[in-house]
Amino acid sequence: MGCGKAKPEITKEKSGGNVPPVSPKEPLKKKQEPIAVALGPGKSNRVEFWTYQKLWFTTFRADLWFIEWQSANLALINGKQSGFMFKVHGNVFEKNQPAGEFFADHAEADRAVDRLILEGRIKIKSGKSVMTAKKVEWLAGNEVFKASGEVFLEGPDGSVGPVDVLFASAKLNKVASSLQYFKK
Amino acid sequence: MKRFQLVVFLGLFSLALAQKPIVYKDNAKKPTMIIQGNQGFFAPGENFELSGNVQIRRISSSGDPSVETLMTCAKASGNLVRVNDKMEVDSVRMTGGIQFVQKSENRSTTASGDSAEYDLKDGLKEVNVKGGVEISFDSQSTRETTKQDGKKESARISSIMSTISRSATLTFKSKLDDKKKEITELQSAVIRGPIQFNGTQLVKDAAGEKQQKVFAKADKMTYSISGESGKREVKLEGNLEFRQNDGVGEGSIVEGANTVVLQLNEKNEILKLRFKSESPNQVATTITKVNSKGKKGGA
Repeated sequence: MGCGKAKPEITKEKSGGNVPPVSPKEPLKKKQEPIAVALGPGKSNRVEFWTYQKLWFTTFRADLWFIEWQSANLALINGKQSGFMFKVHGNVFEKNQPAGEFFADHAEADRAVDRLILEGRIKIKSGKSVMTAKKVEWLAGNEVFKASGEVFLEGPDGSVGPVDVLFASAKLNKVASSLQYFKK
Repeated sequence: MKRFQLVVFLGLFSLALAQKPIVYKDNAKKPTMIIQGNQGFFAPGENFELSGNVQIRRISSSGDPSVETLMTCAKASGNLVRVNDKMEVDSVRMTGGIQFVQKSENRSTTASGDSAEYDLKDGLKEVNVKGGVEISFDSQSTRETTKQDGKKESARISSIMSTISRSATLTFKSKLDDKKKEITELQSAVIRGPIQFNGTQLVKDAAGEKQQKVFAKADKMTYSISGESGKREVKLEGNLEFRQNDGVGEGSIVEGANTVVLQLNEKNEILKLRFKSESPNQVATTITKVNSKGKKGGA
């Protein structure tokens, strides 16, 4: 008792460029009126830091996405922020390396679950492969795109679609009908 | 509550029926390979896995829809590899209600069974089918016949050679024909028994050419097409039983032979029969007649 090895502790911090991090365990606050702030062109690098404690502290960095926008609305609802960005362009990352590139009319960053939602004239590119759809979500935790609405992917190795829902890897080199085919 | 459950069930059922399959094409505009299924994944250059109404279709690069390879099954997994600038499937394992169809101009080979494996081997495509295997080699052609009034007419003739067995290995080869069109042809078939074989024999008599039915039972059947000459042969061996019937009433039973080698023409019609036995003078033929009530009698 007490002389065994201490269990490693994992702590998690998130950083979003010019946007401060939000703790998911934040206590519920009294309902507040939404506060909207209009912003001009900008960019944000969504990064997650992991601190792993065993014999000494080691910090790992995980790049989730990078996004540039021409204009944005920042809404603060119940103290939580949501960002709506317009005319967006950026990158997603696979194993910390830039993989897929995206273009869309607007985007929403859901910070609570590390999800970037793209809508309107979407184009996802990786190498010579291009995917189009009505809506695309980047599920950063799984490093997978979830595309829906007339999804079509074309590349040098062939094409997939049109299909209602398609899951695709960041490099668009693997596609599936469900997220279960992307087990890490 | 029960009505609500029924509505939910019907809703989910219709949703499942309405679900679009996931479809992969090697080329969006001019595909030569189309793979689809209800669920699964594709990683071109690596592998794929599909389930639910799986179809793997290979079309001729000339775009001729009459030349194709079609494999259907409930579940399939395998590799998606690039061979000579084309995507091909390799090391495919298929289960559940397999059907394999190879169509060429005027010729088709169909195999069905419970499970199958499809591999690329030294430029050949090999299919191994297992469990309640049924194979048919179908050939369509036209033949000119002279009517009683002396007028000539051409009739469409179909000759089907079929077998029922436990397992079979079929090999196919893709090549360019005289018109530079890509065709895939059956090279060989090894079928393991017990086998029930049905074929068509071409018989010439004073009235001209006619077809008669051939039935056989054996333990093993080998179908082969040899190289440039295109010589087609079927070899049936082991526990051989052999019958012929002209469909009118006459037939024959051949006994005492261990092996029979059938020489075929391009339409898979039997031209020559060669029986072999372990010792000489063992092969005997019994002529049979079917009377008006359909009962057999020796003659």
